[in-house]
Amino acid sequence: MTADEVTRTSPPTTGPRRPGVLTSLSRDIYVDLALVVALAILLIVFGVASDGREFLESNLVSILDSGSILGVIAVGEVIVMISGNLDISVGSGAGLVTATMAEVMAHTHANLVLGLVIAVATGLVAGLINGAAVSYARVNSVIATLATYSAYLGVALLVTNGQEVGIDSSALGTLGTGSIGSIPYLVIVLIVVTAIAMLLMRHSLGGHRMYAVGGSEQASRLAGIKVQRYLLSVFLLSGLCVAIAGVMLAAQTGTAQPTEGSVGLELTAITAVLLGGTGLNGGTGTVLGAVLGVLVLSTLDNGLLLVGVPSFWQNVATGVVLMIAVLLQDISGHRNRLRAMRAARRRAQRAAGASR
Amino acid sequence: MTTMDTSAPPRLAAVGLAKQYGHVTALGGVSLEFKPGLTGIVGDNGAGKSTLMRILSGVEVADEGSVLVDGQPKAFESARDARIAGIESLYQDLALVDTMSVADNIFLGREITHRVAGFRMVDRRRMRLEADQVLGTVRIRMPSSRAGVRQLSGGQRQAVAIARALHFKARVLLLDEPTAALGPRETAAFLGLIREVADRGETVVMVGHNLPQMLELADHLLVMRAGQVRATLNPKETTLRDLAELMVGSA
Repeated sequence: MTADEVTRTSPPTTGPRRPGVLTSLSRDIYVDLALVVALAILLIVFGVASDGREFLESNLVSILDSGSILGVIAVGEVIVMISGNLDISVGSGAGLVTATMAEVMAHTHANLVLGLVIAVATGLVAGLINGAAVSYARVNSVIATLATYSAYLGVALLVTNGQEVGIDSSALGTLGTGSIGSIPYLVIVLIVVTAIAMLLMRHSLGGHRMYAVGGSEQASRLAGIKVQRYLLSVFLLSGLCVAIAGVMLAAQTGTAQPTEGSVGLELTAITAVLLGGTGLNGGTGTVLGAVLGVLVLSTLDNGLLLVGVPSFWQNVATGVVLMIAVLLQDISGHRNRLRAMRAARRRAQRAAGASR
Repeated sequence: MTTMDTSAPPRLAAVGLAKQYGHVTALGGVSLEFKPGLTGIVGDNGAGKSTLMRILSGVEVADEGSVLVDGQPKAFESARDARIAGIESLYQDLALVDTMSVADNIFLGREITHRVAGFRMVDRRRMRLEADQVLGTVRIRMPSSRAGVRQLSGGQRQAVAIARALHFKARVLLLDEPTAALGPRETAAFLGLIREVADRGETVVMVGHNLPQMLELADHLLVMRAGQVRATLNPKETTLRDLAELMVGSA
């Protein structure tokens, strides 16, 4: 048979990897490494530009501290984006969490346990609404979370009556400003959240299937994966991160923050996630990349402030960095994509030829 | 194996399958049994081949009739149900996750896991090992079970799907024009692979347009026309001319 002759010349082998064949994992590692290098360069540049020793001693901690809330938000966002969706409501969601928490604590003599329960419940309900809209009502996630972005902000203002509500809890204040040694509690929260999320996404069955659903909903469904369940889960996880970030925000400021410090977090978080090598199409990206992206952004902000660059330029710098990062990632992914596109075109041509 | 035991019910059979699309009868009460080996289904466009395959694979639900697996009637409501019953289908490009590795795709939806503190963790090492093992039996060259599916050729992608069916010991393999998007060399290699699977005594059902190829390859041939099975043939006693006449209905 001719088929035999063809296959015999190319023996069945799983043998040496052809050059240029990158697994998705190794690509992720390159992106993470590139971010670490970028981070190191930024630190050195700013360290040299300012008084080096002072920069490293006081600012390293404050970079981590200011990035911790954004970091937790970004962890939730990257999980949603791995599933091929977007969550725009995370910023106003975090504001809503601070609002309900502050309101409940104001009426219960600052009962922190109750406040935390309400915070988590608020975050989960916010995530549940997003998730139900996307997975069961099949609403596009950008539209669904754009709607809830506005709704959550409105509810937060309703709950607080548009006024500042203070939280009088020394324990919460300690969380916001205290530290173990020189490491602030908020940074420890970020480290713990990051570690758990990395474990979940990298090694658990649930995380594995979230990547699968993001890579191809149709293939996942044909393989018997209950796609809707995983879509709901990613938004619940994002809601949980929003709850944690909301508590951190309340702890840091001691007040409810329906707008200040919460709204706008979503775009910065998405920027950080993109910086971390996660695409918009789903199925790719890492938690670590997103957190490294946050660190790059807050280092940039802190560093520019420190060397006396006017704050408007910080926004410009953020934009430039994102553009450069995405372009660099494109160059490395470009060849693979070209090859895949050519292969797809060949397949299509043959299919057209065969059916003629 | 069923090849030896003639009294065992066929792995896959259909009784009175019917399907209407509006006023069009796509399938008009088809009853058949699939024997071990490769069954080829041929017919003109609109003869009902694809409708039959879609019902057998659970993608569509028949208006009437039932699908029997090992003699047991099954009510498939989704492709998932069919797969659980052991019917593995090859979909062109749809059933693979491009962003994942070959091993991840073979085990998609049926991942090997181990429990750590009550949580189900993916055992990537074992999935790679077992994927390499089953890929070793597939005679199409693969870069590595770690390679991304995105980088594979059409033939290699089909081989991943076959490896999946082999690994999970599917009862039946359904192929709807599997070589339509493949080049000549890849087609030859792929058909060799299919022939090999059929020679092991597996039940393989394949829809194809290339009549000489089907005559050469298949163990049994079904000719469909206007939603009916018009003939069941032994390819060794059939000429190309017979086949063509049966398909257009002048015989």
